[in-house]
Amino acid sequence: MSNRSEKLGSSFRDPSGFIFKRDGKLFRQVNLSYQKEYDRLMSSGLYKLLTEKGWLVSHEETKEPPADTALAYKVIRPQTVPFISYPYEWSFSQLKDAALLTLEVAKQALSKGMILKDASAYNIQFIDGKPILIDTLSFDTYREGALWDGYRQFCQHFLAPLALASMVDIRLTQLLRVYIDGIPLDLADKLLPGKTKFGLSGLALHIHMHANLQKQYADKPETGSSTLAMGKAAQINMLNGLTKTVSDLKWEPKGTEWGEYYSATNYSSDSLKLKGEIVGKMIDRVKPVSLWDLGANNGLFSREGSKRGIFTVASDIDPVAVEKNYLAIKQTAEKSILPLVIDLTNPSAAIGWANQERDSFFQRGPVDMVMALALIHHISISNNVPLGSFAATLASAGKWAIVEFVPKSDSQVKRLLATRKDIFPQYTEEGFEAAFGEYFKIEQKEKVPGSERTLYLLKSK
Amino acid sequence: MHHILFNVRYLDPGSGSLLIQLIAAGFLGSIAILMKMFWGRIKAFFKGEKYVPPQPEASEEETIDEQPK
Repeated sequence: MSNRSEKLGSSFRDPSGFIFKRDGKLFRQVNLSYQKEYDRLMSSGLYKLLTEKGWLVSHEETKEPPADTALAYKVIRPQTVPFISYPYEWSFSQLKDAALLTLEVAKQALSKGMILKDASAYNIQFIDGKPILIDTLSFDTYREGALWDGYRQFCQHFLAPLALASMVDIRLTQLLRVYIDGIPLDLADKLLPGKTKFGLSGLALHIHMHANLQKQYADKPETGSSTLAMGKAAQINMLNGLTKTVSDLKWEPKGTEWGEYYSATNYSSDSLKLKGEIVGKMIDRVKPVSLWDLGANNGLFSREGSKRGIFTVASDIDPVAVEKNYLAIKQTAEKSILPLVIDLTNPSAAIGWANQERDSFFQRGPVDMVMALALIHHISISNNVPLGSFAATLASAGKWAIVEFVPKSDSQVKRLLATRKDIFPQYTEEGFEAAFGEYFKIEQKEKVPGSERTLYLLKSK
Repeated sequence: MHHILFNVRYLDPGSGSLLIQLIAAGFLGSIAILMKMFWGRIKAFFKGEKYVPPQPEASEEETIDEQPK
């Protein structure tokens, strides 16, 4: 056993294997108990089919010593995922595309004599704008008559949150933060509008009836469900039904807070262009490998990073902005950019068993560079975060930072202060420089032409 | 029990969830297999034998040596 390998807290449930980290590299141990299934995945053509479509991460078999020798069959090195994100951080279409991918993978598996054994949303990640299954050990040998063990999980992880987002309110996807194994179906059953109990949408069956049957069977001992069986064609039929149900769920954001932000600001299009150029030059000066754009809106300035091939997380509190960003990325097949819904005033916490299954947002850093453009007034004025605290947070997240200071004379700040008492005497350019000076060295300072705002390039001390 | 048909499970599929799948798949596709299995049980009961579920074709060899260690 190696003393420098560390099992990750995210993959302990499945006895087929686990992920471990050694010398900064990620490996997956395949256990002896999963030998037959692994070999079948590789020899049946399923692995080739799925990796060629970009639906499953590719991997190579290594000679790396296993982390748990007694159990080990093989050690594989999976393709790198640039940033691990979670379903409660995805916009509607990201979650929907992840759901549809899961179903397609399940169908392909059946065609090659295997079956997808689970349907965890945490097994899907986004690489270059597209969802991909990252758990190589998700497949079992298909046995005639088998039902889909992942069905309930699919309904909880995907169908329930999508239905709630589509039919009730987009904010309900945040229930996934509380329920790590997906939204309980009896809760979804209660929250969904009555009309979904009838009709052919599939929700009547997969959520409402499903919840009721679960209730009926909850405290009964297992009676013969092991003799239940369905043919392969029937299972494909069911998967197709689920695909239809998911595809029919739509969410069309209507003008919210930020949706039309750029048309509502006091930035002229010239000014936006010049701001982009300054940001681009600052990025060129530092040449970061990884970048977080916090408060990215629809990712206009995040693209100053991604178009240079720098992997960029474009996070925003607004699900509309993130949805628009994702749809744009999808449409033009953009790479190196990952839009996420993150509320910086209460970012994703570490959750799950021992608080180690899913990392908090900031645990997934630090990165080379963070950007906070036109964000400071929301953090410091709307949310009362002292400037020093904001500076400390940015300094712990990135070696470098680009921060835009928006003074009180700016119309956006005036708007924020119009409805509340100004209790922010330190919120001035001098106050900003003093507070950030504690944590950063100011490397560059540029006025944004045509505005009262200033861009700072900061190097963490 | 389970492992004969479904190998070693790490997810609890839930009885209610299994039944819904049958409904979702349309009764027709699955009812034949279902009948076959229950018929086996009924026959075994009247013969006073222990019921042995039918062995899946492709997996006979695997199910034998995949007992938990």
